Amino acid sequence: MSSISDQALFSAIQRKLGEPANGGATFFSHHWSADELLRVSQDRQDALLRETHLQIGLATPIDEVVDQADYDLPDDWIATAYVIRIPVTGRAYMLDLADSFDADMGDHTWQASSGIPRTCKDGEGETRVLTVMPAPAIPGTLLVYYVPRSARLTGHGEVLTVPDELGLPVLQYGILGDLLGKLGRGGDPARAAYCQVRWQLGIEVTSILLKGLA
Amino acid sequence: MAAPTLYNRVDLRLRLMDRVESVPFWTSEDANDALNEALWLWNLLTGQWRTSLTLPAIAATWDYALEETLVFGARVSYAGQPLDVTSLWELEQGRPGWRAETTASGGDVPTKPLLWAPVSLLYIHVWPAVATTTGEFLVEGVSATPVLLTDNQTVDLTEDLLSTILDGALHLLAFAEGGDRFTATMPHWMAFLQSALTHNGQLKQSLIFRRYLGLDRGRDFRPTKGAPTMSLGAQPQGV
Repeated sequence: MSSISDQALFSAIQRKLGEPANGGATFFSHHWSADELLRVSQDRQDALLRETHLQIGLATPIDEVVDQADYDLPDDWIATAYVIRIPVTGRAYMLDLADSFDADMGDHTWQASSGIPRTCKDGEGETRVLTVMPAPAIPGTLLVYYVPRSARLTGHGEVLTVPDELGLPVLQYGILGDLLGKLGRGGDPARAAYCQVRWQLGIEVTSILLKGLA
Repeated sequence: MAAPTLYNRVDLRLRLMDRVESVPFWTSEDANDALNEALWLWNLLTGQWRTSLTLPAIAATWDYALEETLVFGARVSYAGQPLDVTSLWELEQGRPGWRAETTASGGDVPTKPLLWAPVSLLYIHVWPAVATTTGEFLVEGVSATPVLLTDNQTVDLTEDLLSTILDGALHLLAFAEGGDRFTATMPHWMAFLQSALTHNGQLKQSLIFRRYLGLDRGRDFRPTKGAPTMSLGAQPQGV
């Protein structure tokens, strides 16, 4: 459950950096800036969601079009979790997330001729576009389960998207790793490396927990 | 195991100070942050604090939303019968068309829900779906961490866990200082993680955790530098 605000997180980070805590408004040392903290925090929160698939949303069902392979993904999409295809007749099935290389190996005619989509890709070509391979000869419906972007941090009390158990113990260290890892007077490679390890351990344990503890 | 005791935030701060001969290098606010962070981290690593949730079974429904009070779903049962955990990928690959199946489908489909798959923090899938709206699922998961937001709030800790939480908090407090003091607290941090591994065996299966804690000895036995290039028994005479 999320209850920590961005201001509380920023104050905790400032204390870790030896700065007076004021919700991330200013940095006494001028080694970092409020805008920089906001940017880094936003990126890290999105990265945490993207890498762990903590929260998954369902996009508006996509109606396929004959011979059309490309379909737009939602504006807040940052990663595809999985895609289910519901054909007009027959059972729904999952499309494997793959790339062009995989598709070429499986069916080298997939670009030239339509058929029954078996795989899909989202990391090549245009941004936020899902390509089914091959394009459908008979249209069905696509259910795209995806990882949405996290809430926009403002520094004015926005509640974090990630649960509290990941807020200070994991997200905070990802942010600190970026702040301490840069070149400049605020840099501290040793602590930045430690933060990076804390980030990796956090992602690892989250992945383990999402598989179920039983 | 020692009986748990209730500790309030003042108790815990005093015990933290005991660990540095009552000459703290932190403020009370720093200590409060560190104690809560240690509690959150401990719950993340071990699922120490648990709770359960009842979900009424809905006919032909295979996906269920969890309330936010559960941090992670961990065990699911239906009518007192535990379901085996699986994954969405296994359901798709091993049972195509599983979404359309219910306990009334017949054939080789079980007559009671048999499997559950965690999908994300807030969703689980079950197979097969119940045919009629009867019964309920009991989901046991990790509850929100009992953090201390005021000095009077208390947390229930065993003696062992108290020591572990203080180890973790001390290390977290030293981060702000960095340098030698931070390095000096690394044994406390390792003790914290080792204790978490003892409580949650799944962490031991993680290569990343094992390597970080120095438990992965495989590389030691297969050196890549300075290793003999032939077996000792095959060395030529006079070498």
